[in-house]
Amino acid sequence: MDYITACDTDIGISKKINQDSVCVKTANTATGKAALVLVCDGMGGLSRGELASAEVVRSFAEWFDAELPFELPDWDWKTAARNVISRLRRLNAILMDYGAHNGIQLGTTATGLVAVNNGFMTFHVGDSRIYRISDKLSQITDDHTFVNRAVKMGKMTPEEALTDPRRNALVQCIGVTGEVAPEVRLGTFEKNTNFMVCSDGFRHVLTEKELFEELSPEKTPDRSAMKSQLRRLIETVKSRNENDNITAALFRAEL
Amino acid sequence: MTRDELLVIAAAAAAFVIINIIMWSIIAKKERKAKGIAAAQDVSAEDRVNSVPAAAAAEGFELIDNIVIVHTTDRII
Repeated sequence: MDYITACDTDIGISKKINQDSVCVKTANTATGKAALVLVCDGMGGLSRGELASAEVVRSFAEWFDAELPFELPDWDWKTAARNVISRLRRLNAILMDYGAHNGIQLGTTATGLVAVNNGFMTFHVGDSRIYRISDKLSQITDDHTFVNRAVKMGKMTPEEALTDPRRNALVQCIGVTGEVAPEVRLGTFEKNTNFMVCSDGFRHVLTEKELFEELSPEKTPDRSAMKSQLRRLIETVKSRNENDNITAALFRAEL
Repeated sequence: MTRDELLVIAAAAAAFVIINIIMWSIIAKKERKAKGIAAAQDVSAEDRVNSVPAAAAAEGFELIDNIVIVHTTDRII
């Protein structure tokens, strides 16, 4: 078994700073393979969004390097899930405390995947997304947005949600909301299945058909192809006048 | 105009100047603080880390892909 992964990020056409952060790590370990894929989208309307996203990415990257190697011999997915939730809540408290002391508000989404051998866990707070791409494309995270919640409660139609001025308002993210309830899912890898993690800037102006066609396992046989397909889509997004920062990461377990 | 009146006007002018100096130094201090935060926002340092020796501490742990992209060098933690 092997893990193949790639990522790319772009400031976009109108922002002065890229507030997104991204991390992809894979490792050979004494007990097999391990990987971390994480995209954090610092809040555009908030001060220091790039600092918030950087801190979350650094925290998980340091966990992967310094703690995960020693957790692997006794790896248990339920414990890992609890630890990820605790880490996200701790980061939320740290960012809120920093904001309160400096009179600013900073926040970020946090959406990622941890893989150990043929098992995986996704974790998610905010409106970044994870898609599973095999013979079809499916979104496996739920947007933590005001409009998505309204649609689920039957107070708004999906069509209304697309144009509602509150469509970017989050009901939870790291660093702003007092409590965060991260969405965590466990699973087992299947053959010929890509996982794509992206910020909202990457997906706003792309159709699901385009995502499926350009990021399918067949179109991304190796790391180099993954990288070039991501860049190609980023350039498409820019040509369609997307205003946000643009970030995406792609991952596949080769069984 | 008497000497006393001139003294009162001079004292008032001096008080006015002193109050202005204090007021503008407070405003300048606040602006410097605000600029400090704004300047840090303009920093766009893309930090790509490609090797972390700490991971080698665990036996048999070998990093293959190691990409961390952030856009600030500031730290909180």
